[in-house]
Amino acid sequence: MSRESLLEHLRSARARARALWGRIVRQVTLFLVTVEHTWRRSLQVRVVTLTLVVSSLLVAVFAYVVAYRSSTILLNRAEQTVTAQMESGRRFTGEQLAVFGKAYEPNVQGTMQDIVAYLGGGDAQEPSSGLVVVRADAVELTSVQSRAVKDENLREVLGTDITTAVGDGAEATAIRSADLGAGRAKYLVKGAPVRTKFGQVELYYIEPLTTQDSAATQIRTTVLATGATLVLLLGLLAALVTRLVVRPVRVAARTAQRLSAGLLDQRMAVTGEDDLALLAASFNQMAANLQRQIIRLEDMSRLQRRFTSDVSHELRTPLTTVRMAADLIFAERDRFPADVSRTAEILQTELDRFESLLTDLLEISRYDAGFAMLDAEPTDLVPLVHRAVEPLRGLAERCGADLRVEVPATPVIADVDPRRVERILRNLVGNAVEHAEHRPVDVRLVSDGVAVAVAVRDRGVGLKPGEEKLVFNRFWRADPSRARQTGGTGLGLSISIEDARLHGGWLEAWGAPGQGAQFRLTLPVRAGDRLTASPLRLVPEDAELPAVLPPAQPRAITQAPAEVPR
Amino acid sequence: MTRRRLAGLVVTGGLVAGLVVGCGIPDHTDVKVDRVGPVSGSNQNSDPEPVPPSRTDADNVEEFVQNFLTAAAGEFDPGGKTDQRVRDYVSGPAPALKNVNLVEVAKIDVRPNNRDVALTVNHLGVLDAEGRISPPDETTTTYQLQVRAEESGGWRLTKVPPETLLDFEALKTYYTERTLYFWNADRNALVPDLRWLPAEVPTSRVPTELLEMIEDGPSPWLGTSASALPGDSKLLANAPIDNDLLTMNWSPAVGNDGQDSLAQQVAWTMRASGLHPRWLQIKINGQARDKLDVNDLLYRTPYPVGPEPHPYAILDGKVSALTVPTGVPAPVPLAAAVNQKLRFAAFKRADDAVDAAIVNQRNELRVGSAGRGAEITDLALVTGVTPRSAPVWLPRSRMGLVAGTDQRLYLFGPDHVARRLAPSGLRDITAVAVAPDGQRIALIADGKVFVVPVSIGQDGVKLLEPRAVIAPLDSPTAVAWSSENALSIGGTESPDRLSITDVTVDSARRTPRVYDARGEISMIAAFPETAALGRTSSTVLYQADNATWLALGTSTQLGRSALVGAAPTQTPGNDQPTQPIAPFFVY
Repeated sequence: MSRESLLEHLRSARARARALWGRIVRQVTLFLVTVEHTWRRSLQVRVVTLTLVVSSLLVAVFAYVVAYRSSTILLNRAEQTVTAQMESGRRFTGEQLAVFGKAYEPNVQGTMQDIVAYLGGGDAQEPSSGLVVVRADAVELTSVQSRAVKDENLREVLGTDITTAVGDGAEATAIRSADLGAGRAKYLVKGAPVRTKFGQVELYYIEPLTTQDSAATQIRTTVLATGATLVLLLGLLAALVTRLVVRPVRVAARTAQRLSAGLLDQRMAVTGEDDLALLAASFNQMAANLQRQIIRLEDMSRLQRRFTSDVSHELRTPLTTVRMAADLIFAERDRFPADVSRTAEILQTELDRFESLLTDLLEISRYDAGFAMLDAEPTDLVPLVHRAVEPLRGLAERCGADLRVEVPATPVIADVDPRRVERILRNLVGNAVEHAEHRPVDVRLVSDGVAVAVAVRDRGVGLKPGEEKLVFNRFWRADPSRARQTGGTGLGLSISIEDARLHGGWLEAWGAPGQGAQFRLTLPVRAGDRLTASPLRLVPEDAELPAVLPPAQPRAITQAPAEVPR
Repeated sequence: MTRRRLAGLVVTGGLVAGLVVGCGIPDHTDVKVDRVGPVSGSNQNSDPEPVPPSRTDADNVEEFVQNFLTAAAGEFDPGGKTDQRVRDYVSGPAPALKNVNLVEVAKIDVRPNNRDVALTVNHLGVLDAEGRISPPDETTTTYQLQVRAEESGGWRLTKVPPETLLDFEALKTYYTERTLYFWNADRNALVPDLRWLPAEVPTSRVPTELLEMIEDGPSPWLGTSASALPGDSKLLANAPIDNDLLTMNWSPAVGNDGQDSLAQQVAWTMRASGLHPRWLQIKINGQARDKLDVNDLLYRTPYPVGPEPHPYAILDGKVSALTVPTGVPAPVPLAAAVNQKLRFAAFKRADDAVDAAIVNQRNELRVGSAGRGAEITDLALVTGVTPRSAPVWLPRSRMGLVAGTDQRLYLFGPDHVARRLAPSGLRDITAVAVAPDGQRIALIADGKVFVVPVSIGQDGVKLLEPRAVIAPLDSPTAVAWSSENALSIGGTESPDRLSITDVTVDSARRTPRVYDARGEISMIAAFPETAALGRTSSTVLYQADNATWLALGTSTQLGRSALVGAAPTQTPGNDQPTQPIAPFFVY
């Protein structure tokens, strides 16, 4: 295999490993996210988890105490038994060795053997039984034990630590593990010195702790199994109880969602007389009250709109008559004295205003009744803008405001209702001129192929914070004491915003005190398209902004403004 | 939230892990000191013990050989001190230290080359590890030895006898006599059994050693007269005496019925060896039985030797009580009508009666009996025997023994007929003496002394295999039991010296008693020592030269005044000896 192919293999293996690692990380992350999501979303999961954790802690502490105590008791029992054995064994050994005056006397060794055989008991040769050892290193005698065990195994049990302690004259105890014939097991080792005429010998009892150990293990297993079962049962119980509580809450939540979606006749099932039944009953009562209120308000609203529409219609006929009479008087005003002539002029003006107010009211009531229909057609907006602006130039001159129009050189075609768009623009420009305070008013038309925007900017007193939305309310006035110069009806912007909405477009306002205001109309190029951004910024570029710009109302603008390059 | 949850999980996991691993019985712990006891140093017994001389202690070859003949004195423990000592004497393999031939050294002849030694010995017996001395089985009397001077000093034997030899004199120094007691077959009498225990055995171990000997059974020569413990009775552990309490642990084979007799047997054995535990406790397989009072055990054991002896002698043909040398005079149980013209007499006290056997001047053996306190008025003639010496009663029976003029041994009893007994291989029986226990007799047959165990049963008296006693006397003429294990033998020590020497039944110990007898010793009477009952000395009277003598270092004659109610001078017209003769003890 060549070096290149080897490297190639290595590279591919590394890539595979990376891919695998990536997959694992993705799976784990996905799992963690799912868990986290479930944790956040499910009250039941949280309650069950917390119950499991807390009960596990309690059970573990309890089990630890029980297991610890039981093994301590078992060990103490074993120690007491061995201590008693040691007492008698020590006495016996002392008596038996007392007959010897010197260590080299014949049969000392034999007596030691007899001692361990006697103390070892009848079953001393059983591999699982304990061991009795007599050591007499101090007097240079071979140590003896009650049954044959390999030296190295015995050394594991009778280490130098315990033999030194006993050799120094102490009675000592320890636990050791070793294989003394019946597999590895734990042993309780107890040693004590025995005085004889020829010196000190050491007596050791090595008792298996197999019974105690298995008893301790059984207790531990039982406690653990019981604890685990308890924890599981508690978890199950918590799940059941939570389910009992959460399920009606979920039903209530779903019902509330349906209710908020307008299905006012949705109700919860009331079963029993408990707290949840009370919740359901209260919920149902609330829903009934809400339904009643909403129906009442709807009725009232419908009545009001109908009233407005009816009044407008009813007023139109006498107004037509009055108008015909007023036109006659106005045409003949030269023939009247000057003051009557003046009155005829005022009558004529006010009738104009009355008529346009009535028209606006009828238009609004059409919107309210849902009868407004969009009559969209591909329209070039450039002439439309001009058409809307031109009639107002006279007013602009009167107001001393310079009316500037900036439109693309090429036609801007969009599917719009030209009558409504023209009405919106006339309204916006009229308002701007009215509030221009002798300063220029700019009208800009921009399109990016998806949306088309028209911005109207004045540099008058501007809007106070929060007034950007109020301006679209019916009959709203920034300064109620201020007199109308243009004779607006107070419904213009309300109608304009309804017109923009009818197109699926936006009509928004910006203003700052002393910096004037800008209104922007954004419409989709193709009727029915959903707007995502406007080609023009709502906040003019020459506006002095505070350091942190509060988010402008439509998210789409601040997020992804599709600026048109200049 | 996540962090807290994680912490909770960690704590739970830790607790569960701790539960699984942490609790329970640990695999290994540190050494825990429960109690600090006193550090006991070596508490060596400082009693000086007699040790045979070592190889290098000799100044010349003869002394070296003498020392070699004592080297085997001690405990026969393979690889032990004695064994090492014997091996040290020998260059090359030494004879096995199992059975030691007890010898009396006749001569150690060192050749001028100081290398070859001729050792002449007389075999006395074979000492075994159980302390028994059985009759000798070796006939070799001369051993050729070779010694070699060692550069390091002293000598070594390059040629040794094929068997281990031990000078019997060394027994006195390095051994202690011990008497064991065994029950007879009927379990109504204890039979003493002589043993030799090395003096180096510390007192604390003596009880164990004695009990182990008891466990091994009586000496073979006692035959069926003494019985061993039942079956495979075994001493399971050492028997210490602690706080006046002797504890011994036996295997269950001893049996429930045998415990009391075992206790009595042990009590006698201990007391005979000078051990004085007040209490005795038998354990069977470690299970303790009641504590028994040793004195109680001693005194409720039937033993045919009473606490008070009554000495008698015959003066002017009449039995009279002696006021000396020991005991208290007791009334003569013979009516005056029958207490005349007597040569020998023997009484036997029983609980409820007194038996008397007399040999009158017509050489008739007559016996009679009476209730206790009453006098015997009628003595019946025993047919079938003509006695040549004093009759002797067998304790615990109404039978007695007497040697006839035909030099046979006769048994007589209540039926007044004497039956001849034939101890195997013994002829020319001239004297008989019954041991205080009644289970052994001593005979002088064919100029030698024998001890014969006796079995007294339902079917009469049965003599067992005799054992020769090797005495340093020629032509013994009289014998008596001066102790449970020793005989007083009268005989000729040298042509001009007639002596009495005490010899143990195994011939191993000889103690001269008197060596100045005035004439042939025709009879000996002894009140034996019984160490178990606290009597540590014996009283021996003998008859020689028609007079009674007290053998106490030197001989002291007992005059007429020693008798109760004796006339100061002889009754006229009587050709009998004028001094008391034929002394005997009743005990």
